[in-house]
Parts: sequence; C-alpha cells; structure tokens
Amino acid sequence: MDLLTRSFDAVPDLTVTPYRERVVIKTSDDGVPLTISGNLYGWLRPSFQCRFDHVGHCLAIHKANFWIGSSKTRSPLIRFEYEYESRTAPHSHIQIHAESGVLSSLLTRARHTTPHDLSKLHLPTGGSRFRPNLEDVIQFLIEECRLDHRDTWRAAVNDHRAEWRRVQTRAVARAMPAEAARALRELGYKVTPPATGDPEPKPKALTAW
Amino acid sequence: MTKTDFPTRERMEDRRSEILADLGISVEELVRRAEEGELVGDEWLAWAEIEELGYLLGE
Repeated sequence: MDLLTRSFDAVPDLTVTPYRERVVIKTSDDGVPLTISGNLYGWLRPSFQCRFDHVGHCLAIHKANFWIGSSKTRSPLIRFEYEYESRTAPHSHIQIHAESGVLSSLLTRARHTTPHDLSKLHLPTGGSRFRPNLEDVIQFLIEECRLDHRDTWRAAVNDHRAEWRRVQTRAVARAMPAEAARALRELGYKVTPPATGDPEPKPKALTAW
Repeated sequence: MTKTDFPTRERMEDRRSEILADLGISVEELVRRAEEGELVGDEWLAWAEIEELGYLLGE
C-alpha cells in the first residue's frame, strides 16, 4: 500500500481477503487510476493470490497479476503475470494486447493457432526468482509511459525494490545453496556445508522458465 | 488504507452469481471465452474477480 500511495494519487483501498489458508490481496474498485495531466486514461490493477506456509507464518505467492488497462475499453493493455504452478506458459510472463502485422505474418507462416492475437503470446520474464515486481511496473508507467505520479515515487520504488531483491536473493540461495556458498567463498567467507553435504539445487530453480 | 474482509463461503458464492448475472453468461461460458481470448470490456475484470473467488474457494 505504501508503495502505491507514495507513487500515485487517488489510490483506492487495498483489500485483504483471507479465507481458510488462502488470501487474496488487491486494490478495491478497478485499481489505481492512471492519469495524464489529471485526465483518466487507464488503471493499474495489482492482485496477489497467496497461501500461508505450513506453519502459518509466511505468505507464499500463488499468483501475482499486474494488469495495466484502458479506461476507454475497460480491457487490459499489458498484463504482467506470475503463476507458481504454471504448466505450459512461462511462470512469469508479459502479455501485450497490441497488434503487429509483421509479427502476425511471421506467426501465420509458423502455423501458430492465433497469429492475429498477440496477447496469446507469453513473453518470458526470468522465471520465479528473477521476475519483474510491482516496483518495476510502477517505474515503467512513470518513466516510460510518462503518467502522472507523486514526487515521492522514486524513493518508494527504491525502498520496496531493495526489500524485494533481498528476499529474492535469500530465496535463490535456498534453492541453489552450493552456488550461493561458492559465491561467498570467492568473497572470502568461510562456508561449511551441512554434514549431509551440499543439497542438490531444486530443478525448478535451474530449468523452469 | 488497507481493509480486511472476512467472507463466508456463501457470500463468495453469492458474489460469483451476481457477477455472472450482470454479464448474463454462465461460468463455463466465461471460462471458455477467457481461454479462447474472447473477453471484452467489463468481462476482463469480471473474469479476474471470478478467478480470485475460485482460488479462495479452493477450486
């Protein structure tokens, strides 16, 4: 919430809805209004589907969607999506609701089933651990798309991104401990593996897209 | 501001029915339209909320 309210005006309430071990966190209404010179052109709708871990202390992300939409068509323009259990599409991906005659032509020649609909393409974005976060989307909207923003946005993005990167770095170290230990040894740390030896890296961390 | 909502299963099922009634289609039709990339306008946000409710309901 702090990230959004320090970045944009008129941020709606954040709604936290827990039910049993699951939680949905999202903005109320359509999302955060996106304006240019005060005029409404779109919305940013962050939505997180989470579940408590086995001890009920931490929320694990099942799905995180950051949709940028048009207030004119009430449809998404760009969808940044992450799904932990995705089976075919990249776990982290971007779907763009746009048109490109050249790309559609290429897809037609490749016998793609929906060459005219580029939003069906899932542009991969680094897998579970190196995926874009809400901070990146906000910076994209402000710096690249030049939307209205609050003066405090950059400090907010930096603060929250730094915390995100710390959390993700620890998660990467847990998924690939031998690699983490090797990097630390190269820096001069003394790292001792457990008695059972270096744990094997988690396959998903190595190969999932 | 952050609000916490503690819904019952019945309230979430009622909300889902209300969304579908507003759109005038069944949940199966909405799922099919989403999978086929045929959603338009308000159907997008309706689909997002239906999916979130389904997640909370463990479906």
